[in-house]
Amino acid sequence: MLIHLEGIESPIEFEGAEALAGVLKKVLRGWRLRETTARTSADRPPRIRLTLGARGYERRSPWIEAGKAQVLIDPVDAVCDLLLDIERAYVEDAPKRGEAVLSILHAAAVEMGHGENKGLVVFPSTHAMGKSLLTVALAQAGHRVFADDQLPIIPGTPALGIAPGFLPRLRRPLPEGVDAALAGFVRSHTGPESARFRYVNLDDQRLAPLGTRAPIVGVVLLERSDGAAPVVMPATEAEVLKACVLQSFGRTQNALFVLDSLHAMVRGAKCVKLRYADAPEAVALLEEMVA
Amino acid sequence: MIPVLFDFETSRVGRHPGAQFREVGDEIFLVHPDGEQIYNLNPMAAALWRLLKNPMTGRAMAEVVITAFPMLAMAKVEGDVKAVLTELLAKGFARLLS
Repeated sequence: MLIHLEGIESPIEFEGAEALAGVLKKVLRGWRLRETTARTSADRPPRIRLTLGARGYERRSPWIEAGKAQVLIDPVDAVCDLLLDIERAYVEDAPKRGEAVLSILHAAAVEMGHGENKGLVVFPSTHAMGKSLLTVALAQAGHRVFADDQLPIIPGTPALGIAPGFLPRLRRPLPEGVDAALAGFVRSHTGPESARFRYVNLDDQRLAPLGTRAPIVGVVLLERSDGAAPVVMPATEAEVLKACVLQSFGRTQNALFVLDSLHAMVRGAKCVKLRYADAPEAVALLEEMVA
Repeated sequence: MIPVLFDFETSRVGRHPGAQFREVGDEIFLVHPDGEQIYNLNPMAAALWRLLKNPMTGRAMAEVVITAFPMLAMAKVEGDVKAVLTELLAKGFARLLS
């Protein structure tokens, strides 16, 4: 079976792995998808191939070491990983769509603010800082999520973030002591889940579909610490740029161009550090910051 | 990293001509001659990179630093200069000159 995603030149091949296709359709938003049972002469050879083997779901792609496969047993975990390759393919094929995409930032991005100040607040990924849960908390508060993990960006003044059209995903279980209303929101919006991950099923008001663009107006470095009083602190351009450089991948441009473009993005955005313990408190501070 | 034989007293070190950089505040971001890697220098390493505008030995570099900051201990300065130059050479941002 082949799945053709509009915007990606080559289809994705599922051999014995059709269960993954079912999960994939549930986590995509705004993607136009076509299913076929066999390749035709018009089809390009698949770049991403999934097979159900003895060890589990095996994925092969140009972004996995040649001759090797990424193997995952649970179909939801396998789709989590597949989305990385789908995003890489989407960015790589951008010139064929007449677009100039810079690279992918390993970051969450949520649209906040009003009027002229409305735009994306970006949270570069840092381990165990609660980025994904904060993203869902912002959705619960009515803000529109663009990404919870990967954000393609277009250079410019201002830089633009592009929604990848994936549901946000949380690690399981939720942290101890998480706000009860937030936990309830997650439970009532549960999408596909595995023992490790749970997708959060946001509607169109709360999740931007694939291709939606918005200017990047803020970059926030997260520091989550139990018991910490929530506070927003200034961040230097250098520390924010460092975080963005470390979290950029899938580059299709020379590193100097990437560096200059990320620097322009950082210079054009409000850059801060947010120390917090509790996601709803962080949401309140962020709303104050963009007001 | 490629091990480099670098003599602190006598080896003249210069920037690799293919290395590019950007100043951001008091830090520097280096772009490797391969055009792919980006490397960040903290303020101390950035200051040493600026000195490398003119090739010099590690000893000469340490002397410049001590002249500017006489309160620092020479042993510490030598250690820092040695560490930074060794790393820049090993990563290919700097090179040894005859």
